[in-house]
Amino acid sequence: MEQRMDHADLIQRILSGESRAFGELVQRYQHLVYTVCMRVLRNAEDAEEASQDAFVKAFRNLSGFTGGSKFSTWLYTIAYRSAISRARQRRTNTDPLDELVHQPVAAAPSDGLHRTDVRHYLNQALEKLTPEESTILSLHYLDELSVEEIVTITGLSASNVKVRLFRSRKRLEAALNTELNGEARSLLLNDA
Amino acid sequence: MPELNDDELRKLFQKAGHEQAPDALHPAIMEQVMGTGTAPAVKPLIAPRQWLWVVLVLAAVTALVWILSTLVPHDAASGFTSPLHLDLSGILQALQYSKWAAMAMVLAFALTLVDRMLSGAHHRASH
Repeated sequence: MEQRMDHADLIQRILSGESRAFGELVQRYQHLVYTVCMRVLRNAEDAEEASQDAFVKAFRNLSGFTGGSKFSTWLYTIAYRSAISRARQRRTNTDPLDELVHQPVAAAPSDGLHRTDVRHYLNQALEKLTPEESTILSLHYLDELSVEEIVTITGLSASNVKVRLFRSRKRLEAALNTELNGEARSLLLNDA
Repeated sequence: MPELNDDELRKLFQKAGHEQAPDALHPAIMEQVMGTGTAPAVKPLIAPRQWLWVVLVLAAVTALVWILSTLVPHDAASGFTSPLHLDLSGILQALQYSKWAAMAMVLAFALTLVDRMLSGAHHRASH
């Protein structure tokens, strides 16, 4: 509630012409927006450009934010759509041979993993899923968004989101176990 | 191996955290935002798209009035009677010749001009 008030104040300042105040919103949300774009695009350069597009669109349409939903949900929706549109553009522009080449996965260490390792293995596993599936999983488990909020962001129906969540969870787990020789739980969740 | 439950998956994602946005992202966004010259604050009350609807509705009403007025027998003593048995001749005449209708349209047009001028002035002032 306090954060919502805080947002309302920031947005009011931006709308009254203080464009620099937008920097605070960018500071708060850049990693979150970039993560959504990375999940969809799987390419740092494209994700950076899509994030930039998303923030600029958000700035231009800020007066259209009515406060009916959380600001983060509104911003995620813009980011998701920017990334999807860039992905479509990329699909028409790139040669299929230019598709991402997966890095060979390093052998899993025998004890717990550090944060960067966890991120590495998780990303590898997420890349085995479709961009939509990995985005939905990320929004649900990392950003802790509800099914209703994911419906708003992706434009899918609630039942569709639930089915995809269920399926992608299974697929993620299978991918993690393949990467980590069936020891996903002990390695990834060990607080080393 | 037992599958990961909801809490474990949450813990796993949280442990991995968000992707780190490149350092260049923030300044690049701000540069674009400061350079767009777009003040998002004030927009005209009636957007160009809404104007299209206004024109369409106005055209439809005008056409309806014209069509109905051609159906009214001018020499009929009892006036035109619609299939619903309503006497429309008085309404049609009022619509065709009302000074009030004309004045309302002129006023709406003037207010729209003021609206656009004010939003333009705000736009220029904020940059």
